[in-house]
Amino acid sequence: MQLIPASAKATFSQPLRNGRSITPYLLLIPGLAWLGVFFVIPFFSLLITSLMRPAGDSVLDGYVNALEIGNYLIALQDYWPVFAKSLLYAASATLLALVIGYPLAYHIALKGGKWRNFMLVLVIAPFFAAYLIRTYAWKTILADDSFITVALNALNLLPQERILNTPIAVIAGIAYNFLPFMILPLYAAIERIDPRLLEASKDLYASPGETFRKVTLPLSMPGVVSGTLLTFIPAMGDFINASLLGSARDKMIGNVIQSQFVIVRDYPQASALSFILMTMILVIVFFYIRRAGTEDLV
Amino acid sequence: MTATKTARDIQDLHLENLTKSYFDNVAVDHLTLTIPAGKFFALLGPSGCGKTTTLRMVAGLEEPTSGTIKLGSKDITDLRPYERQINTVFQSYALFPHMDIYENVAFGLRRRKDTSNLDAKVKAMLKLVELDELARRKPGQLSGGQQQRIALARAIINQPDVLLLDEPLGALDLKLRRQMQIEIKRIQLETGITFVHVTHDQEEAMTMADTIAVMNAGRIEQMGAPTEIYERPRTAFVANFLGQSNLFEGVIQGQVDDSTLAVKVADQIFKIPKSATSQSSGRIVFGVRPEKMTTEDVDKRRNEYDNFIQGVVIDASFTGVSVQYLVEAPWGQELTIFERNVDVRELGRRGEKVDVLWRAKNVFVLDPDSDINDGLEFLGEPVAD
Amino acid sequence: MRPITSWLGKRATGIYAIIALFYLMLPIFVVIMLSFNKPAGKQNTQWNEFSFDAWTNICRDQTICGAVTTSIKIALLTTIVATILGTMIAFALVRHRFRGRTSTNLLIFLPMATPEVVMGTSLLALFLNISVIPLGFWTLLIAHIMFTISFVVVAVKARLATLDPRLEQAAMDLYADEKITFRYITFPLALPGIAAAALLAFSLSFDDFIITNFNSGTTVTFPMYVWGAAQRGIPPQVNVIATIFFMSALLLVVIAQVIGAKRVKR
Repeated sequence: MQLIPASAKATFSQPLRNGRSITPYLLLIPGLAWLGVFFVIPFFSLLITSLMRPAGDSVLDGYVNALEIGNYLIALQDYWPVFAKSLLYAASATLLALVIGYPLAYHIALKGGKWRNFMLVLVIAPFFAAYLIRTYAWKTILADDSFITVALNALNLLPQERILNTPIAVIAGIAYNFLPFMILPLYAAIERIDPRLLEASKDLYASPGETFRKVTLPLSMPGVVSGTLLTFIPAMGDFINASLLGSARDKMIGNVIQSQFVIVRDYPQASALSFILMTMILVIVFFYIRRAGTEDLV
Repeated sequence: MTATKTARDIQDLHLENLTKSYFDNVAVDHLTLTIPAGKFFALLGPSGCGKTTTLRMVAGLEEPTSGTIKLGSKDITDLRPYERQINTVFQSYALFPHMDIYENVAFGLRRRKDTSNLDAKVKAMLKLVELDELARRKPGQLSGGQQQRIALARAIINQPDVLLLDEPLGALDLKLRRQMQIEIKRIQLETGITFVHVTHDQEEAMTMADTIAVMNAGRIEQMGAPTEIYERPRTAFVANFLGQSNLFEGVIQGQVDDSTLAVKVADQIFKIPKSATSQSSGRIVFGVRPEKMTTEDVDKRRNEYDNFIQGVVIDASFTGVSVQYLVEAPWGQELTIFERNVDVRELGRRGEKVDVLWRAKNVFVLDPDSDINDGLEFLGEPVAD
Repeated sequence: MRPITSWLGKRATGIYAIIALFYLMLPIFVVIMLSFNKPAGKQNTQWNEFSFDAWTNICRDQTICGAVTTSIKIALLTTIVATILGTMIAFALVRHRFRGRTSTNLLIFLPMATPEVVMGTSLLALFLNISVIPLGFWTLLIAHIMFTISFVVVAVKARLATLDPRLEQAAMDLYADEKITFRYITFPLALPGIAAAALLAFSLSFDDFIITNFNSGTTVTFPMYVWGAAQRGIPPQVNVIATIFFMSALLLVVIAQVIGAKRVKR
């Protein structure tokens, strides 16, 4: 029955709720500092590098600080078709992932029952199968003499008579690899819908199709927006699928940046391309979110 | 279990000018209140009246904007929640889901390093709430009523000076709620701990509490024993929130005799007991509880009662134990009458003319500046939220 | 015909789900299958002959196991640091009020909304411009921690948001001070979220190729090894390692699910 000694009070005299204590800042500083130094500052570094010019005649001479706006002009002039192609591939892959992912997310969320957790584990399973290796596996699945290719050819569905080393393989590969990013937000959004709303809709004479179009789909829009963004953004910068599944003509902007940086070592050019890519994505995302009218993405 | 405290342990709880405001919104407004030691005290009011905020300030979970909280003569306003000899039974219980029932109940004693005879104490406490066989279950496996008992046991085992109960029965169904009301009252009597019970259910407050404080908009409207505040409400809010009332505004005309005043409402004179008010002239607001009125065929038994109104039946509904009438007075006011189902008169029909009768001794008088509609907006509030 | 169409109609999404899940798992089956293959040539893309060779001789090529060891080292260190930093941020966001909340949320969101190529190149630009740390193990560790923090924050935050703050208040009411409350209530209840975040951080780090590709210098991680080997032909040992990693991760997820289900029941 002993009361806590008076001295203990001084130790914990911070107010419980409303007070402004320094605790949150102590919790935030290490992590945010890491992101500040290794995520934010590098963007400035990228910007500086993108404006450099060669120090000598050879790439090996390195680069010096300058204000070489020309890097950007050359990047746009030389590579605008690649940018356009990347946009096309990424957008197609996102759409494909949405079409594949939505019915699955719908089924898991509303009709999963006791299988729900099992199906969710299967959805995230590809995360744990190494990216490069699972993409490599598609080479086997889509090979020219594989069952799928032969079957589709028999039906005369393939204009180039093959899948591997065509844009179809690249788009399908991207869609496959980022599918979990599409399904999980969709699942979360559909799962949040009160099933009584769907019952009310049916009670008010809506057919299953109308219920879906008028109730389920509008209410799941936040999931559609975040799912498409989480798929589209990494898809725009991807170069693994184009490298492994596409032909030399199917290279995306990620491939160009990768080779410019790692192989050609034209750092200013590669940085300019990277900067343009980021700006492009920011602009697209900005207008997309404004049209979709939602801002809670995370 | 000898949880009963000796008289010297028990201290009154004093709230002095306690105020809590959020920006411009005053939740609790200069509340001054003494909660007598060892009693069952109920804070009753509609949701948003500041009762839960008051409770949380006593618990130490909310900081008062100003004012003090004292236990006996000891100022506890600035003590942290764990430094107070006060425990809380939370709304929806807040049992720790990752610990079993035994560990939930032992939690407080372990934190205070009061572990002598811990096992015996926990078992005795589980026995007190009649759940000793469930000691190794997890809270998720218990029914609502069982969780409620564990929440009670977890708090009481610490022998606090004051036990705070925040709408403890809100999540239970009606039958279980009745049962738990009796149970909680029994435990309060057995332990002798001061209970402060926050509720918006007036019936619950009246069943359990020794003293009820009716709270409205951050202030205490009236405080007293349940019978006292029910029979003699002082404000329209209390008259309307605690049970139902038929309230009338009139003007005192003079004395009928030594113990009776004549009051004019519309064109009619009513008798009210002089003892019910200190007023002798001017505007007066008085009321009668619906169950103290009766209906009768026109002009049949007027002489047996002090007051009558001839009105028209708007609605009559049979509830079994009683018939509830809605009768319109000549000046348009709607009167509610609960008539006991004993002298079986034929159920009044809509449009039928009836006399509404009551005796002068059943009249209560409110503060003269009362607004008779005060508190009516909470009439339809659900019992459980 | 009517009964058949209505039977199909009711099960349409279920049948679709089975097909879609099969599609998701198909490459994984192939990966596992090819780990038991004895390739005819250098490329292990065509089924040739069943064999346990790769499973019994995982480290025949020393560089594979060296790369795996490097990857595990980086992933473990990344997991430890990112989980601690990310959990702290999540606690601050869920349990405290403070100025700059919106900017914090934005800074957490941005790394997840930036293509890895951009993050990888800008970090490389930083390391090239300030050549304090040579490209290699440490630059990879820095990079991996950077891009996993946000995922940890999101995972832990999701768990914390489901916790009733009244549980902590109840503990305080029952004589537990802030430290004890954290130790006995908050932390154990947040642990499943923290564990999930750690597993996520480990997988992301172990599997990362794009950011690693820019900042690795001469250090070879497992994905870097695979990328390099892709031209010459990937040995089946790579499939064995991928299978082991996949199975272990899946096992951990299933164990967590079973424990979670038990906790509710018992």
